[in-house]
Amino acid sequence: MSQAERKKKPTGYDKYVNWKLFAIPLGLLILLLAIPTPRSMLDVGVEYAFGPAYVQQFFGRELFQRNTADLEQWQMQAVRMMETSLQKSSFGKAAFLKRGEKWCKENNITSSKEHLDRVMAFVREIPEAEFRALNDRAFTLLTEELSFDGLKDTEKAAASKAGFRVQAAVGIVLFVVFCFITEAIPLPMVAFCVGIIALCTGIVDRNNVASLYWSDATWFIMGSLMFAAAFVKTGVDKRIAMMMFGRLRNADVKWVTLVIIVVISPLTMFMSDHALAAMFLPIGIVLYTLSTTASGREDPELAKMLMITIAMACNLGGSLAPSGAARNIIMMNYAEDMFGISMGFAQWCLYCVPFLLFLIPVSWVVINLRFKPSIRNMSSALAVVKEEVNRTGGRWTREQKISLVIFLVMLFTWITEKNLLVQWTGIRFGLGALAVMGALAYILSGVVNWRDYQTKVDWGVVWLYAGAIIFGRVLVDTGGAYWIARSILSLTVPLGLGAGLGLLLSGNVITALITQIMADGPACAAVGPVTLAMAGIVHPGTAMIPFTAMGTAIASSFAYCLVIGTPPNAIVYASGYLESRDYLRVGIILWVTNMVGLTILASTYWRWLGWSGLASF
Amino acid sequence: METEKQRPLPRGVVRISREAERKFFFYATLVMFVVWVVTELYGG
Repeated sequence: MSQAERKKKPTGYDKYVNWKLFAIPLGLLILLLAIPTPRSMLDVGVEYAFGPAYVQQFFGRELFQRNTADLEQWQMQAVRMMETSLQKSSFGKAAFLKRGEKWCKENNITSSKEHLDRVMAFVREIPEAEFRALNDRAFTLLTEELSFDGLKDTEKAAASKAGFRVQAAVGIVLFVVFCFITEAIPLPMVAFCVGIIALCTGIVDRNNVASLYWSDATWFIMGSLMFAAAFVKTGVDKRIAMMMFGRLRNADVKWVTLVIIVVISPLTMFMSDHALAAMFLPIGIVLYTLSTTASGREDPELAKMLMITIAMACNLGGSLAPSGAARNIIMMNYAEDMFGISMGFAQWCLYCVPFLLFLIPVSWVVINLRFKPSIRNMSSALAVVKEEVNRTGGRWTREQKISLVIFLVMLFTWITEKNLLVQWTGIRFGLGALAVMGALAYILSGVVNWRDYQTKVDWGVVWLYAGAIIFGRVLVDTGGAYWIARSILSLTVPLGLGAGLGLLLSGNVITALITQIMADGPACAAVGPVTLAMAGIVHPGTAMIPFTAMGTAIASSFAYCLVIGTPPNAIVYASGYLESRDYLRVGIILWVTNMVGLTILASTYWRWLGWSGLASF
Repeated sequence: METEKQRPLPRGVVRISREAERKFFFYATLVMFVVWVVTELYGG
């Protein structure tokens, strides 16, 4: 596209389908599906399809001298619990003895108190070393002895199918990444394609497709875009903008972006990044629209800069405190479950919060270097905001008050939905259902009507993130994510990155690459056991293990490059000002700088602090 | 927006307006919701 054409196109307002360009990812996908399944994918397929049954059979014979079909119920529960622990790379007896009914339920293991008590009494009798050796042998069986060639002929057909599912998942990755970078078709259409390809390749069946699209995260994005629409309609966005920027003496865009980053990024340590992105999206839009009204010209670069600043600021702090995101808790649980290393809230903050002092200035500088808007002074826009706010005599209107109250109630329920709200109601609502309830409350209170939602909400973005969810599930369930992690690891080890800081770096790189194409929580859940298991094998009983847990959690927040990487990226895309390449403009640089920063942090500050009770590595 | 509509597009490229896209996905969301409810109630 020429410079003149680029200027004409206000970016994102209209979408294009470029059939010639679209033929490339489609051709690549068909080609990848047509070639014979590579051996490494077949092995992963075998591990996923037959691993659980073989390992259960192994435990059944070793512990009870029986085949699984002949086991009593409590024995079957013991075998299933041991197999599930192995899947999570948890080999220790102490960790096993902490399992409860809740853990069994979370892992779909049928359990009763009586059976669980018998299981625990039985395991207590096994000597620690014997328990560990048993798990080690099962692990060797799973990862080394179990291979495609070793299967019976009747099993090979099912294994080939499982291998093909890995192949299809990797094919979908190529297809999606190509479509997202080139925008050959509108991005939400890619979400459609993911579901259709997954259905056609047998990864999901027709009964599950619709439910996969309707996850809690999808509901959350839908609800939060609805309340953003309510903010815009009532003018609350302008009031918040005034609170944030009203006292700014020099309203140059560089200081405006700094304020956005400084306000948002520490909040992400305690609040959901989705909620913050949805809250700040209308503020970004109002700043841009009023800047263009005041100057009398369009400046797409300014719109992109503001939107990207909001998205990146939302991605900075989430991993620096355990309360920032579920991925931190996932990694803390892994560290405790696999190695018995307990990591406290304050301990996590002590190691990770200082990283924000690096992230804030670096992100601000990179954004300001990569975006050069022609409208730089935003004081006239802020003057318009002030004028509009003062039009009502500076007082809050009834609609604004209702809007704010509903939002504050929603915010309270989002923060307390895991604990306080569950205690009060006995129901775990989830962020998504609460957001949709809030959106309904806006309608019932008369603040907005249904037509506002239909016209003001970018429904394509709801689909976009629904597609990202289904994509992540496909990668995890088929073993595609595991295959990608294993492949990258096998490439990095010969480069000397198999021990010490190199190992930490390679684990972080794997996580930070995978998080670009799937949500950060599932990325941690999929990659965490791999990186931690490597750390445990190479540096057992050292500080490397908690460092890897924290490193993996932080690296999973480096989802700067693609719109599907994380909800804030998708939410600001709803503004309509961004093209997918805009994420790459800052994303690639931030990815590299922050990866370097994280490595420096680990090699200096973390090493200097050490880890209480663990040797250095 | 007006100038953009008048500009001829290269062969093989189709324009979808923002309004058309929103309307399409709005109805797609409703349809998917109905499909989800139906499969939850009657699915295998």
